[in-house]
Amino acid sequence: MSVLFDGLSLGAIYAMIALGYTMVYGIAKMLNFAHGDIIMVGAYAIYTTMVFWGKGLWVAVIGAAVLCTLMGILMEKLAYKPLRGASPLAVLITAIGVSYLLQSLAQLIFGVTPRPVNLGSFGSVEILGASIPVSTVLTLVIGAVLMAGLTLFVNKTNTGRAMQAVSEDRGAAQLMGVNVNFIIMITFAIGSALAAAASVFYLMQIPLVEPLLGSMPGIKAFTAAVIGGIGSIPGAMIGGVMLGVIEKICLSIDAIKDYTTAIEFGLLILILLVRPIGLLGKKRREKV
Amino acid sequence: MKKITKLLAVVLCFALIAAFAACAGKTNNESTAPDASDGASTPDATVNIGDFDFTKTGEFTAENTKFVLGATGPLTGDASSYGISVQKGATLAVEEINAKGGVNGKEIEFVMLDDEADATKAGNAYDQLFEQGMQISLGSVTSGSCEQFASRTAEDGVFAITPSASAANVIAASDTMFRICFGDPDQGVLAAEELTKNYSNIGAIYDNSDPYSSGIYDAFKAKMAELGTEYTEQTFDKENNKDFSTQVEALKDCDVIFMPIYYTQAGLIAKACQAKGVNAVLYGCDGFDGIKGQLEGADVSNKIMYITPFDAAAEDEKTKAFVDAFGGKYDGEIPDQFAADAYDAVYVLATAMEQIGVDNVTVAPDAIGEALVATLTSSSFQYTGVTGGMTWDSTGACTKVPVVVELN
Repeated sequence: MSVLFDGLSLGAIYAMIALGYTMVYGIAKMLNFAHGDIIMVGAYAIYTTMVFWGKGLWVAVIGAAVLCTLMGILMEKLAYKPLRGASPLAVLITAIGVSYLLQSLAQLIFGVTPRPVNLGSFGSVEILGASIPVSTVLTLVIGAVLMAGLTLFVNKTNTGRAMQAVSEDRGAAQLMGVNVNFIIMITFAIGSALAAAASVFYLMQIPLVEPLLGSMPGIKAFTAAVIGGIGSIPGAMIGGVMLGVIEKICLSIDAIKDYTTAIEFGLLILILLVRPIGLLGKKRREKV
Repeated sequence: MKKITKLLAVVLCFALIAAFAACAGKTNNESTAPDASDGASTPDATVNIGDFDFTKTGEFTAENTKFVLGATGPLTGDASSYGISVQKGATLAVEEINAKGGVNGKEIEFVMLDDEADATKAGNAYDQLFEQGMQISLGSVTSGSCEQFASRTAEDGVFAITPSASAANVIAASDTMFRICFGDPDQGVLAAEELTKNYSNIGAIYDNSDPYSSGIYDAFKAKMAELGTEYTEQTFDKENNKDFSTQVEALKDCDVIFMPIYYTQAGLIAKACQAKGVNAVLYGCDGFDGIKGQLEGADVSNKIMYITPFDAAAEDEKTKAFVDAFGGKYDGEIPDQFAADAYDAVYVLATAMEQIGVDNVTVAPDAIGEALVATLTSSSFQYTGVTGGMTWDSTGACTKVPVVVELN
């Protein structure tokens, strides 16, 4: 029971990060490998506000959200916008470069030593006979709310519909009066804000900041996005939660726990073999 | 390209610090050390002092007016905190001994040269010390340097006892190289005994990708099997060393959790315990006091205990006197494990030299070295210092009983 909850909350974190990957891919048609490092930026923002400036958790969370959002926009403007229309490979390499840049900057500013950060204690509650930390419950509830909100935003607002339109056909959307650059910027902003949320929940589970903090969750979340079908928002959520639960279940079984990471990536390979577009991916006919 | 090189340099520097911290702070598995038994070092119940010729004068020692005690260590650079601690501890001990009239009426002169934790520099420093008339030595502070130092002592027969170089290769490199710091298995054995005695539901977690952690754990496991104690085992590795909720879940009913791991992970486990409402005693090994910094501001209520060779807050007279004297000499500074080990090392040398009765300050290094090896390895020799009671075997390894302290 407890394992399931741990898995769900880890899954919610993965899902939040995966949403960033999948939205950017769906709309800008690029893999933003620096997305994982945005989590690290958020974590260091929280660390700095709480430990250095002695501010409370809420200030730290808002600060992280603002910084990550700005960082996402800045990243898009400086690194990716000049490459609009360039070959996908060039954009991919740039994304990897941005990722290294962020990691190295964090190393230069904060050093490589992992530093502890305490978001405060929340205690635990009894749910169905298992003692579940409140932080886990918070992760699940807020994660669900954020994802529901995002789904509503994409489906019900004008900006959201414009995002869908850009995702379907960028050229046609532009002809219909959609400001593509603005939409892409919004996408980066939303993805990065979700990464900031993910960094808060990540620190609740693992209260330690380090420059490479974002890389593993980033890769796992990317895997989740691909499993769910990259480009698909519900797919990223399902993929993330699935991956989190599988990871926790594997880790709790002694016989296979050493192979957990292998099993997760094995699953990715399996899904790509059986259904290359992912669980909820859309088939797209290539125009000749 | 230049930036990458710079970055690489920074990263390498950090790696280097980490490496030193690891090798200087932790002891390696002491397995089968090579055969170190020559004629003189066979353990005897009594050492016949008549076997050694203390009138023999060495090539460089003829001009000595005091016994010359040499050592090298990092006094500058990244690992300098270790070297400076050793220097302070040893200087204090030498001054105390000289103030009480020296060894057999002769004073000791302590010379410590900077090796910047670099093996080549340690080798050069050794040559310099030897030509200055060094007769006895504290070796080097860090393992890499001390291995180089040890290989030279093997040629010249200089006796050296290192406070802190803990790698197995160090004492294996020379018959006359001994050490003060203890071996990891000792901690595992002690933990197994203590936990079996005091707790009923025992858990253990260790890093199976780290030699230090597994070294202690293997000894713990063997001792637990010998004692017939059941316990719950959990592991992690360097790929998965952040999220401990699964492991803590499995250990949630334990009264005590044995954690032979580094303090960063220990801090994360403590916080995971707090989140899940697990109140087990957390039981760590040397260096575990570092967990204090990890838990600052966190609301962890678990009792934390750890094994350590030296506890500056201990109530025994020896420790109190040492901490007071150290603070008095160095502006109230509290001695760390390195200073304590160095302090003990000097006293071990002085005690052994008093026992063999050498009072010729021009004695050749190899003559006194042979006598010291025989004395330290004799079954009657044992020394109780600020880091506990110690005995030595012919490999130069030290057996000591660590103490268990509670973190406030």
